[in-house]
Amino acid sequence: MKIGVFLCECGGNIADVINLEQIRNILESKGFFVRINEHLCSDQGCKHIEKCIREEKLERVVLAACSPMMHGKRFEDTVAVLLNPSFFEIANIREQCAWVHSSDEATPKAIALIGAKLERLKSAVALDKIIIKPYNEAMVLGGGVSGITAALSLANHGIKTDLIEQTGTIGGHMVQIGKVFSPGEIAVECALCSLAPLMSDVHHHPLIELYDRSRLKRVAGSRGRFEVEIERLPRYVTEDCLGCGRCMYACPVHVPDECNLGMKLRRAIYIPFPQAIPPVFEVDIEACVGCGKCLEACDIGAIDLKMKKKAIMLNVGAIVVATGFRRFDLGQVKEYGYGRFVDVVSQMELARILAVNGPTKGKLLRPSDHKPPGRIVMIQCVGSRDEKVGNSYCSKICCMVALKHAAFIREHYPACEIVISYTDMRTTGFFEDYYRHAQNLGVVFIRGRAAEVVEDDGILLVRMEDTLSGEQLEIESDMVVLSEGLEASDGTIEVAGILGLSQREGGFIKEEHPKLRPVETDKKGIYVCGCAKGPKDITESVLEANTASARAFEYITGEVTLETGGLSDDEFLAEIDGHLQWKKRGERVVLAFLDREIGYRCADAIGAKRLSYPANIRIVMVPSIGVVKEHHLRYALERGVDKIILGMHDNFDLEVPEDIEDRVLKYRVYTPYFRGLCEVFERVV
Amino acid sequence: MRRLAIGKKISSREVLEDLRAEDIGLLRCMQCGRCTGGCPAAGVFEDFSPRLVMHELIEGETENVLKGDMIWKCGQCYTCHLRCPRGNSPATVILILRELSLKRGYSKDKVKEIAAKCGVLMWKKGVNFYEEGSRELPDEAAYEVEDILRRSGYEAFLKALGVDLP
Amino acid sequence: MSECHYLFKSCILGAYYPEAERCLRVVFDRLDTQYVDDPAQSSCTGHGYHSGIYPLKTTLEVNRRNFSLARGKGCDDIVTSCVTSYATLKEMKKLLKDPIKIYHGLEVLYEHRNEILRGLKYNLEGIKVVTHHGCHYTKIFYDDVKAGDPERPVLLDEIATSLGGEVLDYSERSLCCGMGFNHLLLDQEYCKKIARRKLESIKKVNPDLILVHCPGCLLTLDRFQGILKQEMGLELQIPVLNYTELIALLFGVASDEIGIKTHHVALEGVIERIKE
Ligand SMILES: Cc1cc2nc3c(=O)[nH]c(=O)nc-3n(C[C@H](O)[C@H](O)[C@H](O)COP(=O)(O)OP(=O)(O)OC[C@H]3O[C@@H](n4cnc5c(N)ncnc54)[C@H](O)[C@@H]3O)c2cc1C
Ligand code: SF4
Ligand code: SF4
Ligand code: SF4
Ligand code: SF4
Repeated sequence: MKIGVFLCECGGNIADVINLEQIRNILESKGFFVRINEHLCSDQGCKHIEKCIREEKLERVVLAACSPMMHGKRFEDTVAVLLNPSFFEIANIREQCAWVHSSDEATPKAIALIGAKLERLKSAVALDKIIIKPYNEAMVLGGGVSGITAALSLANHGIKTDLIEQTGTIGGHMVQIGKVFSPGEIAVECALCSLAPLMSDVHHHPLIELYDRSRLKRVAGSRGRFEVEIERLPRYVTEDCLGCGRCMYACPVHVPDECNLGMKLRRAIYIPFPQAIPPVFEVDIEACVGCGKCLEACDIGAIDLKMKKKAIMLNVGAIVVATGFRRFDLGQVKEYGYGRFVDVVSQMELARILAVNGPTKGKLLRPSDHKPPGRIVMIQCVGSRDEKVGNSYCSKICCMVALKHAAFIREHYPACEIVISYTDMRTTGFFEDYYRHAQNLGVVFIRGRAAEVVEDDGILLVRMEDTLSGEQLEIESDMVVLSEGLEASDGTIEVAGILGLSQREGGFIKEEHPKLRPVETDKKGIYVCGCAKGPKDITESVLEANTASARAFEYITGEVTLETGGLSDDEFLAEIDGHLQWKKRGERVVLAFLDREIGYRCADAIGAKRLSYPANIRIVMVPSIGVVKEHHLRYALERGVDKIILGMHDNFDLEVPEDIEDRVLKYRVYTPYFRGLCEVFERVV
Repeated sequence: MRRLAIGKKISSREVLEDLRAEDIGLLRCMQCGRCTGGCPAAGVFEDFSPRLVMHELIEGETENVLKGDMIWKCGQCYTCHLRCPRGNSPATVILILRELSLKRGYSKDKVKEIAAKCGVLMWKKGVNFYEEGSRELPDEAAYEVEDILRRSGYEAFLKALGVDLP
Repeated sequence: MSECHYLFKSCILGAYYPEAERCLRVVFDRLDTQYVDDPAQSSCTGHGYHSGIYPLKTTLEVNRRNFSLARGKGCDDIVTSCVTSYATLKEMKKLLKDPIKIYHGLEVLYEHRNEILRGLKYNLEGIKVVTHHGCHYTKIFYDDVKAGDPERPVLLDEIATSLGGEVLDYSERSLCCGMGFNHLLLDQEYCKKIARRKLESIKKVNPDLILVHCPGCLLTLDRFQGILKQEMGLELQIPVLNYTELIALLFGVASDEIGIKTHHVALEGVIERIKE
């Protein structure tokens, strides 16, 4: 294998410090083809490289020059005309050598750096690029407001979209919440009034295929070519259904209605709510006693109790996950007595009580005796900001939900007092107006998280410390409303598992980068939006849904480059070996694994500022610090590396086993804080 | 443990009914403490805090405030009024509370001495302060003022304090 | 501002610093500013009102009379010599929805600050001044403060500078003088502690005089220097002058006519330096 090495003088930047002649002699004696050039990055320099590769039939090339961050792209383009990009490496002998070491240290280090690259090239495998067109179809998982928005947006851009919803209707939680708060104005709007037209658009859109009662089962393929298996449960009613409801009246079975959180009853054959999409009745087969009365009642024979579940295969180019949240299980906080006291309810239950289509037809009556409450105490942060239940995060919307309900009640039932026991009121941005509005309406805010709810002589007592006066209080109340937090829905957790997406606390799906790639997941072609990603309100959910659909659209309509090869384990280990090859007896070598985007640039900046550090620090660039695995660390240490520095930043943590803990230093790198890195280099040695 | 009974007016209606409370954000007080932080009286009297006065009102403990002597510690400098981020005016609220407190028959000792001096001077001479030979109203004008004071109920007010008029 | 101001006299000045109030008339005369000096004008009740000894209703009615007196004299504004009168009248005007306008005497002189310069016999060259603006001028109707910010009003500062003086800053500039209404008339604990904080902070920058525009501030900052000395041995001796006294003095009005005898802290020294 014929390997060429090009040494750049970089004017005098390199040549004044490093003895390039000496390096040439050593390398030539080992059989390499070596040239020294004044400016490799000049036109003339690049032509020279090209000419040598051609004439000398070089198979692999090392350039020893400035940082690849400087002219790497230009050199790669030059070499790529004749060689596979994998067969070309740059040894950074300027920023990470000539500029940071004295002459007598720099020359041996330069040899070691070049040697490491030569070693690596020997085991390099050709990189192949395959360009594919993604399947021209998208899939949206979850039919809440996020999924509806994403599906409509994709379809409106001409992409055929499959919307997968696990229940019998789309709409998600927004259907239940009744009235909605919005930023910027205090008006409380009707949730269903704004959602129903969108649901209907989904139903009528020629490019949207709605799979109700369906769930994701399996996914094969990746990157623009997802082969997805969906399981669709039967409705037991065909699409011919006219929605007349005769069957329902005939049905003798009464079961709790999910939509009203069990506060109302429904039949075994039912439609969740009149505006449900698809507008088709369904049979709750678990509840159905098989009496056949509905079959008799249906004029058009739309009911088929023998329907079977189906497996459906879909090929899609991108997937948007919008599987939403689940409300915190309030029973976990025993001291508030949810489940024990009928008049301790959740905010969602209160929403149903206040809803005109709810169990009390919108009248504020408490569950136990259907009397209007004289005082309601709301307890905030239940299941949020509570390490005891495992959720340390803030659920973000519950302060606003409480204010919305409190203000509504004060406006419509002025005789009912409202006390809110809060930890902090979090009403960011223009939501502060709601806070002020509720205050103006006489809602009483007492700071402190309620400790317990007890019942005494038929009255509920909320015990808390008023932390602003330090006094222990016992607040009488007729009804207690717990502001439940949000957790990832079971569907979200399930889908994250099937698709292999990273999750965070609460089970929410993690984005690739919290700022710059907020709707991208760590799997290419898979996006996430709405409450599947974290607690948020409708406005934010819709914003994210639109962003996710735009990214999915770009992905589907673009090209996907699949690269095979890249940094293989062999190459990586070979580079480590290379660093040790020139190690003198007793010399200590410290390897610093730095990622391309942050750590490596940070190290370059040390050179650019002409600071200095010991020459036995050897920097190995990795595409991302995540590629460094435990076995790499062990390999290096066993082969004689003294210590290892891992340049850490967000989203990555490698558990370093105890036995090598003292030899592996994790250091958080920041691009502008190169001095810190430099100090670490000095400290380690 | 203090018990907040249902039906007890939680936020103080009476204060809000005063003419001066019309456009102040008493209900919007968010207990931020910006008022107390810069209050000179809070620096002098350890147990005084305009925030806590507002706090008591919000929780319906108006009666406690009226009976107690907190409201008499304020120096009426209006720094709190200038700075409150919610448009509240503890200084004004305190003035309203002082009036309410006297109306309920509390706090007489806080003002009796002052009323006996300034109030009586006002009645007789139309000024709050008087030193031998200093300005006073001509008789006719002084009678006019006396009449206005009487009609506004000031005689009864002084009587209730135990201050006798000449 | 209207042609002819209804001059609203202060009870504190009337009782304790009568010449300071007379100085306002002298200055107005010199500047050819028209005013009505009505002996029938009563107290606004302000000091008592803020002490809690007058119900709102009484204060409203007393001032309804004052407003109609002013109008009867053909004035559509009232110029007060006290900041508590200024704020009390403004508040009552607002509650009564009366169209009358309320100004403080300092605002009138501030408007005429260039004319003042023409009549000067002396100036403040070489004199170091600190200013204190009354809380009831700056903090109650804070939107109406004529110059500077309510937290840092500069009416007195600008006047003092244009008179040739050097204005010094001090850390407790926005602190109340310590008068405290009912406190002044009862145990005075508030007054002593706050006046001390204020005066000690002033003492640190060592000015030649404290310039004020309010009877209450004048009284407190002046008289409490004596009380603080007596009770705590605090040696301060910083002359305090009302803006009317200062301008009259610079116009050449004789020392005893501006009422230096009514002051607790001796003014002779600073007056001598001004006249040098
Ligand atoms: C009590 C309460 C009151 C609220 N009030 C307001 C308000 O006034 N204003 C406001 O802006 N926000 C409010 N919110 C928040 C609002 O409900 C959410 O922002 C919004 O519902 C999020 O929509 P989503 O589509 O992301 O999730 P969801 O509404 O949870 O929808 C998720 C959908 O995905 C489906 N799904 C789940 N898993 C799967 C799966 N594996 N396969 C297929 N389908 C699946 C679910 O059935 C559901 O239809 C309130 C929340 C609560 C709890
Ligand atoms: S299933 Fe038949 S009876 Fe029932 S709603 Fe549909 S059309 Fe009507
Ligand atoms: S939004 Fe409010 S109630 Fe909800 S967790 Fe956050 S602070 Fe608590
Ligand atoms: S500054 Fe205003 S809002 Fe803050 S505690 Fe005081 S009165 Fe309340
Ligand atoms: S007005 Fe009273 S409560 Fe307000 S800052 Fe001044 S002394 Fe404190």
